Amino acid sequence: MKGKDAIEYIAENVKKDTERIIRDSAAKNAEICLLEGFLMRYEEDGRVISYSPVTGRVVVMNPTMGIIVRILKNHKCIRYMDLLSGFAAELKAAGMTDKMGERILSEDLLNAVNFLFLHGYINIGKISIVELLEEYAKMKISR
Amino acid sequence: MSTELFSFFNNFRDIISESENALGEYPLNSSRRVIRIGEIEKHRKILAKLRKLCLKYKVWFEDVRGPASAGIDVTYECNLKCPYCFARELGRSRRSMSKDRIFALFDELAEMGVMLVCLCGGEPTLRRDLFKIIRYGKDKGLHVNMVTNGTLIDHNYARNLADAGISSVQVSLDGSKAEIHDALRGSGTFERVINAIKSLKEYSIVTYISFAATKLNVGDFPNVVELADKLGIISVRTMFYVPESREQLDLFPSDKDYEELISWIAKNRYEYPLQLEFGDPTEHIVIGPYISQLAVHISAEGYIMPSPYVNLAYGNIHLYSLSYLWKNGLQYIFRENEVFRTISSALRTERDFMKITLLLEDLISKKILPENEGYIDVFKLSRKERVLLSNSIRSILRRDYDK
Repeated sequence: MKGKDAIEYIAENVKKDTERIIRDSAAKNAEICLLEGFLMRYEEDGRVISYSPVTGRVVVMNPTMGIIVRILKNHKCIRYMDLLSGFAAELKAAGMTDKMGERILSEDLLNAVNFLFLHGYINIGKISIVELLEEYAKMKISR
Repeated sequence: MSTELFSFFNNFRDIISESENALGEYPLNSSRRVIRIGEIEKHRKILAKLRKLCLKYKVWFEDVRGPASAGIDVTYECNLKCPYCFARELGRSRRSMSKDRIFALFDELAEMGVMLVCLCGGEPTLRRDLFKIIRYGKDKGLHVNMVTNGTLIDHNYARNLADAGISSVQVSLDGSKAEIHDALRGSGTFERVINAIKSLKEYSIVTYISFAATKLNVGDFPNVVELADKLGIISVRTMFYVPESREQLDLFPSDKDYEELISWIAKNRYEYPLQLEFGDPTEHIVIGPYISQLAVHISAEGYIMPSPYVNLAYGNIHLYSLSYLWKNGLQYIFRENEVFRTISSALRTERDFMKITLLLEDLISKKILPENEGYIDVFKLSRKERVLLSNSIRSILRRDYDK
């Protein structure tokens, strides 16, 4: 299952589960790994233009996601808390964290990680969105 | 910025729901006919709202250093004479782009950050230097795809494609059995296409199927999907048929045909482990003013075509570099150029392409506007000529639409 179908299916069935997986992973400090082989390019303002590995469609990541992708590219796999501290350090270097608490930063990071996971850019604790979709497809068939 | 980012996701969801509701006002089976995106006036307002929100949070394809993908018509020569071919009907010359020109173009595309390149035509496999072209593109970091009728691809050819580094191949298949496919594309072509797909799969080349829906074969789409599933295809695509002449109108499927086709896709999209896609060829034009160009298409003569369905060009790569054209109007062509903005606002359905084509032929034959190798190059037109062309297009589309 790919493309628009997959995104609609995720919206209908999988999304609540992915949010739970991400929050659980964050709590358990699971490793987040960036997958290889997808197309992407950086814009001057920090945005990332890419093709989603799941949908095959153009995706524009905002500069926040751009920072996360850059950190993940450097480390390949990183624990959630390390990603959070790396993210905070990057924002601080850019002079953007003065008014932000850790809770807000963490919320931002969760949103960004959710986006990257749903579009197939990262694995969380060895779980990928493709495997998740396949599980759902099997469940649907067995019903 | 951070709390705003959280509200962005909520606002984004609200606008998407609004968009779904707008589409829901045109329920497929109860409406009198199938609606195209250009006919939903509310959609433009929603797009404008979405653009404003996404621009604020920099999640929009705008003010970027180059397109994401590029289609190149490497040749207009073809070994088939399909009755619905728009390129043939538009009278595009039988020219091919030279290998050196393609290499130079690949250099420039790579520099602009283009990620995907599609080799189109015509039939690209008629080129003897195709493998060199693919390899050069790959070496430049481009993902090279190809659109083909598949009739010339055998076991050896597929191996050479894989060795050259092709990323994916889209093969045209217009029927699930020889009698349907061959009636449209020529005797013996079905068997050759199926063998081509099997060969491509043998070398693990990602393969898509495109299905040209006409009134002769539209009912066979479910069988084509069934066959594609057995062949291990990952995607089957079809779209509204684009007629370019009065003769081609004879093949136009009825609204009832389209309703049945779209309903079948909607009902069966989760039943197959492949993507079923139905496209609206007017979509890129309707949404054009709200987004930067995602893709550029270049004809074999080197003309940049904002839409492949009309012979209106915006500059030629033999005269100007692509990056120069990108910075001088091409990026926002459907927003900033009078002619293309008019097309975007007045175009309603795919049948309107034919009206524009007939108008351009008329303007060229009466020598009202200058032509270049069958194209009208809008980049070269004076402001007065652009206004004249805009008014003519608006007049012809509005007049015919009102009828």
